[in-house]
Amino acid sequence: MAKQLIIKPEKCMSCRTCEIMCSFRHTQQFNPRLSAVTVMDYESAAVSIPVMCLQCEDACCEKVCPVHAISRNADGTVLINQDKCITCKMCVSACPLGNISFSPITRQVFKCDLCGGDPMCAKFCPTGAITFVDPAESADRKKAVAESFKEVFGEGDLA
Amino acid sequence: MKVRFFATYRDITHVSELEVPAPKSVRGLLLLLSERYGPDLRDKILSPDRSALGRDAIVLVNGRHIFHLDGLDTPLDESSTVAIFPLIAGG
Amino acid sequence: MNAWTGTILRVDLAAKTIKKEPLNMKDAHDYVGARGLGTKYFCDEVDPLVDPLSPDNKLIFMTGPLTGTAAGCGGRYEVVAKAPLTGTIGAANSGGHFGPELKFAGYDGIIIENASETPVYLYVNDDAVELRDASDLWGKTVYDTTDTLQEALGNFKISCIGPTGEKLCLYAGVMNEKHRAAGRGGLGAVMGSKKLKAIAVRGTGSVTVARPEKFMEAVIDARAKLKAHPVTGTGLGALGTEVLVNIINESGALPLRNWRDGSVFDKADDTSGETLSKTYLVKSKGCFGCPIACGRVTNVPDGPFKSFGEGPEYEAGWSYGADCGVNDLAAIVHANHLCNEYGMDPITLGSTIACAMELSEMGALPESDVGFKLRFGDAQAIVDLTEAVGKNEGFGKELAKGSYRLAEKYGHPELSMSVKKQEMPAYDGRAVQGMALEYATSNRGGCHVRGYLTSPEILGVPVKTDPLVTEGKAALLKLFQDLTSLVDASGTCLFTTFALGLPEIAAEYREAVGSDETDEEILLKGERIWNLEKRFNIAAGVEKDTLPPRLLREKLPSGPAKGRVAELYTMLEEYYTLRGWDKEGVPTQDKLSQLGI
Repeated sequence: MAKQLIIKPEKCMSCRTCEIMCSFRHTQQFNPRLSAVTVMDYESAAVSIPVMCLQCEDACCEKVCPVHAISRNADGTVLINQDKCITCKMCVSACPLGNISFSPITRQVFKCDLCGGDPMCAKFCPTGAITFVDPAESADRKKAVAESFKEVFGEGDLA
Repeated sequence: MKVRFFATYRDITHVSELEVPAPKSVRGLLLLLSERYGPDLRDKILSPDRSALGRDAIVLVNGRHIFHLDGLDTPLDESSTVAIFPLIAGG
Repeated sequence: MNAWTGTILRVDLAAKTIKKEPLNMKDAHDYVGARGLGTKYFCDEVDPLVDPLSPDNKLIFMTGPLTGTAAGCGGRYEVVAKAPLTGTIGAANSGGHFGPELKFAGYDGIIIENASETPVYLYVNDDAVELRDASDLWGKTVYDTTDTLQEALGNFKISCIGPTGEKLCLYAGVMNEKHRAAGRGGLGAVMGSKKLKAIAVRGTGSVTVARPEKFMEAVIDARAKLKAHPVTGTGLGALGTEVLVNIINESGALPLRNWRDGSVFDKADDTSGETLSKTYLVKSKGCFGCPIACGRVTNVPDGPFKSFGEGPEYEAGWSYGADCGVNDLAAIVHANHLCNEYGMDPITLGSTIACAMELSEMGALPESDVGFKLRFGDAQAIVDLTEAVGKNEGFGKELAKGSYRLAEKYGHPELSMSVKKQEMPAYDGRAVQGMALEYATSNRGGCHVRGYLTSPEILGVPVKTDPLVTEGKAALLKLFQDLTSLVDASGTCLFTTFALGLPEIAAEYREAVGSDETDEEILLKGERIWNLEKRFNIAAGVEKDTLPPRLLREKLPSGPAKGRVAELYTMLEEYYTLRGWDKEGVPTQDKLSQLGI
């Protein structure tokens, strides 16, 4: 499957529903600090951006782990095997995007695991700021560009 | 008579106010507007079988909701002002 | 403990002590949370005759059991105290993210007692709670206070007052996340009288629910309904509450020029949500867990009213707009931003300016007192006078007391368009009869939101009722007031009720706390809250339920409600009967016993 989480910050209105749905799915508790997605809000620039693990092809966390607890599954999701993990937290330092966290509550490192294929953040995001799609299949940004050209160069509706 | 459009309906009609010769009733007016502005408006202001007001449309005749007058049979004349809104709210 | 955290913070600002005490669980079950629970604590602990600005008044911040959960729009909390503007029990509801953060820190609420001699702020960082010196914050605006604290402390949520709260403006509000307000009644002045400048909260804990799977089912159902409904799904997010301007105006219910000139404004569209979205709207914004996103981020990029911030909402847009006869949207937006920045209620301030405009035009308010010739329609004046109140300068000092005291000073108290000294917003009770009854009977004075009959009367949601008739309004109002009390107490946002009804709200509550109560038993809690507030008001000596003479006697000159007055007394007696109160509007002992008050 080539689906991935696509972020459209222009649609984010910083409600943080993604944060509480993520934490609930994984811990049955509502707690943004147990969420693998965090909304970064820049109030004076009127922009907010949900940020989560991007499942890097060349994952630093996977490389740095001394006990090989981090690996990619068949769908391309980078997952932490908590049985192998010794919670040294080197992955937390290694991730250049800050997308692995350590929870003092569960005393484990955690990251986005795409909820096993049906990510809650995308499911409950009210505006579509987070969606879970195959970018090749839902080329809506490409379409938007193409549509602008169509307006200018097209001959109208000839049919 | 005057017809006024509000909120998202303005994005369809591209005008906020219109003068038209008064049809006999609100029903006639909605059919006239549906013809003029096409399915984008028609599907909102009329029910699928065209016999009733669209579920999410509000129509006021001289400031009164047609529900409290005669519904689609509410009569119109040249002095009428009809205001058409999508269901909106606030507080 | 589920939903509630089970812990209340009790802070004595004079003794400088902070205690953590167990939540009174009987009260939590009977009064739910937020407005209900905060009011219950208040009524049990404070003398109704207390002077609102004295140290003996208490200030309570209270969340609800659903605050901080994924319940539809579960971001709300309430600030409760005896209100300086009205002398009633005052409770103001706010959204944003402060309430959930307090729950994550482990507290259902904070009770603030007595007063500090020097400015302080309350620092709450999970278990670590302390009072800290706020002398270098005192005098700062809401924006500066919030920025300064966040720079110093990091990712904390801040609730604070601006300079107007410090200077005891009778309608100073308590602001969180800069632009969200526990706005009405002057609770910011109570906070200022205690020299409490801010509360900074950081919470790393969790909120849990009793029956997680069933709760999630209720949440998924509620969120699907919110998405499907045209108002909550797209309408409010796209156009904000200002979208009401045109339909209220077309219905002949948009009070014009201090309600003096009827209720139809030919320039209304200049101040509408449609116009705002084409001009100064930058984007929508949602509170915690909210799919509706009615918040407006707005920017006036240049000109004399250049300004960035949030809002205006419909009632603030009206008070500075039609009520002042102003149609300059940039000025209205800027004035609203200033209210957020200084921390004051734009509904009261705009209405007070409108009152001053009428007093000026009739010659009762001398030009020398104002400092310039004040007339309706003056866009610069609404901004200048807002600044004057914000800075507590010149005529601003008089305006800071609200329209009732202003009008009384200049010999015309009847021209304050207020009930129990709080200004009525934005819907003319002569054209919307149910709103006339709501204004007269609302427990915190002229308030539209607690019995929002505009929804059925003008918008036709959830049922269609005729705004021009009085029949059936008493019964409908009681239901709306009781349900609103329940929603306010739950910690979810009232706007969910455009799409959700008692069954959905009761379901979220039930599964969160682990209750087996029926919908009716849960709604009863709302009725209980209403009666508790009423009993307090009577003991506090608050005025009887009535309306300004203009609404009772001056007929509307134009529009669909031409010739009408507010037929209050036709509805009032039936309302009291339905509430189980006597002819004077006093809850009977039977009613109080039935509710267990």
